[in-house]
Amino acid sequence: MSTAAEWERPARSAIDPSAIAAGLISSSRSTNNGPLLQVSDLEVRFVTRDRTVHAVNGVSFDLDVGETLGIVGESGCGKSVTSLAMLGLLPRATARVPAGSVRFDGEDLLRLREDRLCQIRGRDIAMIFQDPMTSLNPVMSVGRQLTETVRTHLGYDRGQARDAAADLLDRVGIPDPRRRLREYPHQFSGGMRQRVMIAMAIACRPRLLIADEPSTALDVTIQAQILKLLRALVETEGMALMLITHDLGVVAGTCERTAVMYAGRIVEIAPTAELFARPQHPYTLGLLRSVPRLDSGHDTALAPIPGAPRDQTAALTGCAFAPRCTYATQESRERLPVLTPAPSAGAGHQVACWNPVPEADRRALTRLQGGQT
Amino acid sequence: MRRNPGAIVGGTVVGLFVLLALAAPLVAPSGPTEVVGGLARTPPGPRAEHWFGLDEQGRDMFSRIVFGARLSLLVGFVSVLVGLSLGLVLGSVAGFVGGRIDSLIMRVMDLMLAFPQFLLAVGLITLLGPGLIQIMVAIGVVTVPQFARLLRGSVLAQREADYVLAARSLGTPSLRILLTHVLPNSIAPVIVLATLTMATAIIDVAGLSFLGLGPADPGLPEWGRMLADNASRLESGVHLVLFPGFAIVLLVLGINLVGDGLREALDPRLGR
Amino acid sequence: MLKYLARRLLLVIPVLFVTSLLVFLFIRALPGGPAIALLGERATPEAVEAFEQARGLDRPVYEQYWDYLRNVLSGDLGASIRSRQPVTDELLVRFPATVELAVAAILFAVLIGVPLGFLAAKHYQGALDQTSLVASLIGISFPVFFLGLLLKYVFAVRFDLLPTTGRIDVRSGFDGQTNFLILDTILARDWAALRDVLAHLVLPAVALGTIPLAIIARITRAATLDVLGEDYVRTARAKGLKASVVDRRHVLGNALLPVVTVIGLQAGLLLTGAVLTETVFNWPGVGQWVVAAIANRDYAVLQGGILFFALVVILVNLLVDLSYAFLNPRIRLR
Repeated sequence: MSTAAEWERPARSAIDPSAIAAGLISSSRSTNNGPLLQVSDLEVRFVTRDRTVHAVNGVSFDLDVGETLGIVGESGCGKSVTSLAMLGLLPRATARVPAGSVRFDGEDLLRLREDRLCQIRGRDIAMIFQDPMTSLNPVMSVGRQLTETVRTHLGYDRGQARDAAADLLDRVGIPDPRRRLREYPHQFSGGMRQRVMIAMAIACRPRLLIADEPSTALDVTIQAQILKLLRALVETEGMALMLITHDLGVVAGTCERTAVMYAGRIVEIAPTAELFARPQHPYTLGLLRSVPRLDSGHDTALAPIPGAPRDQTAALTGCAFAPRCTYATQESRERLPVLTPAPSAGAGHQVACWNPVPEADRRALTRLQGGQT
Repeated sequence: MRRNPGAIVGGTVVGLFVLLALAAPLVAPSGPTEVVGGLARTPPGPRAEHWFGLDEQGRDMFSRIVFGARLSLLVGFVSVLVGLSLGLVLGSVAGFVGGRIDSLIMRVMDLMLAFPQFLLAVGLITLLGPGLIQIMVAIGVVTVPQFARLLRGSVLAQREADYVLAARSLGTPSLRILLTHVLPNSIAPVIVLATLTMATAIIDVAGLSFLGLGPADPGLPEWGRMLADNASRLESGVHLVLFPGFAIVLLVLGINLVGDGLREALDPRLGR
Repeated sequence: MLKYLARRLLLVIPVLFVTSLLVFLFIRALPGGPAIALLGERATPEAVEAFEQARGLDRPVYEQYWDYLRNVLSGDLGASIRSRQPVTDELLVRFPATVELAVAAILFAVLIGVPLGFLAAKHYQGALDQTSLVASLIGISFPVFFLGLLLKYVFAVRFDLLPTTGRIDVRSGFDGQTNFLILDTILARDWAALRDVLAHLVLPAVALGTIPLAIIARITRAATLDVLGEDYVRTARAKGLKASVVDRRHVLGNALLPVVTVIGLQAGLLLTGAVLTETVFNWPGVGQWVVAAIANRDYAVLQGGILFFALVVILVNLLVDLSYAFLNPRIRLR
């Protein structure tokens, strides 16, 4: 069995991660005295023979050590592409990153050579994906896929690696780990497979874990378990978590801060509670309103956001949400709004909008939600 | 849709062959068995009067090749026709009628598919004896299982389609449904298969002739036969081998290119 | 896995029966009747009648079939009309030649085809990819016998580089025990003879293996492209594994599964090709033997040859099924 000593890596931060999570201590204490992750003006395009898709159009955000950030948006808003771009995992043939920087601990990931990126992937930054069935190699045993990581990055020999792997499976809650090591992905259930993915991701104690729709492909009850596991790991490992999802419920329970993305841009970012209580961007308001409640009457109409998501084959001119927005003005259509601190909101709340939601409408929503925060 | 340069090249080549074949008597300087030169141990190669040279019996090679195109195209076309018609019938019956007849037909088809196509043809020829008609039948029969399978699949898929059910509910007899509704909708993959099958048919004919199982008439300018006859003359008259051989390759390549192009064009993944 | 193995092996038996029945019927259907077939066309009517009585050809068909089956199972396949030798003996001498050729051809096809297809997929739509696609197309449009003749011309007639007839220099006088000449020469440590054998093997193997090469390359390319788009390859990269490691361990392993099946399916192609290639290169194998038998109406030989081919096809299919079951953990762990 492994000992704690074997797991030790030189501690980068001596701060108690749970304290940071509780917002008690300023989180700006990483080795570089800045945020752990700094994404600035990231742009991603996909170029094919007939057209160009502007998937990400100027995304900027920070992530501190041990912080949990949620990224919410509809399919096609660019949230997954952002994370893939960060790690250089986009398809080389069609993806272009014409602008932006992704600073992780001072290094710009977009400008690194492939072999340095390989060192960072899986070790400092890990990623888990949506569908655990297709994300695991079907002809390789689970144990092998686990030991691969620790042997590559931490230099363990076969015995140490197997011990570590069994320990990992145990930590993510898989019973009888030793036996399971020899088994193949198809012999696990969906939830278990996702746990295996998580185990693979945390094997080298990464400082940042990116979870791309980790629970979407799972049953609701399993969803809750997986999210609980992620929360527990964040706490014990002190790692930062970037949780990408389209489900507002998921961020509500898990993330300290949440960013809302639309058409390849972040339109609003705030501490989660603050976002739900005082949404500034019409899109965010629309999202919150569109979630049906258990206690609304039978004949309460569903309130979808009118219109359809933007076709991303053209570059942005003006606010992307304008065509669907009740508050849109001429300015919205002409000038691209930038993230600025929201006037009538709490600290750390930024919105990219020329016409943020008026107080009255927001209060109507809060009433609808029974004053829930 | 004509984005496929290969198909265009292929189509041109095939077109050229067809034209040559059709216009053979006009294009060829002499008949396929007409002797224009003397017997020679080392037959003369390509030159001004005889573009492809002469063979060991003094016959003009160019003429023989051109008339050979006629033969190959004819045999290829007819065998595919044989295979296609038989296969269509069997496949439609199997798909439409279903049940035990379906099982029986498909079992036989599977059995046939278990053997290498060419060897089956050899076996059939052994039973039927040599001769042009026998060859076309043998090669045709050997391609039946592929067509049968294709048609059966198509029929099965469409049997439950709305418009078929509609036609049925109106009392339209099954045969009519088959002919006017189901078959026209299955045309695309059948055309592709027919084209590709023609390519293999031409190679198979040449192969049979090469083994001495081809049409009995020694004068017939069959390309495979030419290869067999002159296999020992590589030193003295390699042109006697090169021209028929490359004729086969070019024609088959052309047909394959067209077939591939058709397959891309008629793919259900339309609507980019 | 064991259950699957057992089931699969048992399946072979009915297949063998059906095959023997078909061959039996085939021989009896040949023009001239079995008596003429096995005695030769010049047999006198008395000889024919005696033959028919002796062989019990006046007995009901199923009894004849039973006799036939017993003969086959005890190794008696009749005698060749031409050589008057028992078919079984000659078959035992000839089949190693065909097998050696076929194995060499498939090795050639796999060792070049698989890497080619893999690289073409990795550099999708690059120069290698485009050229290999064109080459594949040309490859399958080439009749095997023309390719053989062409190779013969270039390598033997034009530039006297390689031998083109038979398996070994007629003057060498080497006599192997198993007739698997590569094995025999190694066992006898006759290196000169080994070189000679290999030299003779090159051209026929290349001719025979070219079409399978084209097909294998294409299939490998398709399979690799499929795998490269799979999520687990992305996961492997996300774990920080180097590209070469990802290729080797994750991509190849999965891409090779369908390729293995295809390799097995080439057996049919190889048999066909063997018949034609052996004729071109005067290779003393079963193919050439069978072709001659058809021309000579040597039907006992024909029967032996067909049974041999059928057996090979059945065996190869069995091997392919078993190896696929072994390689795919979803089937292996049942």
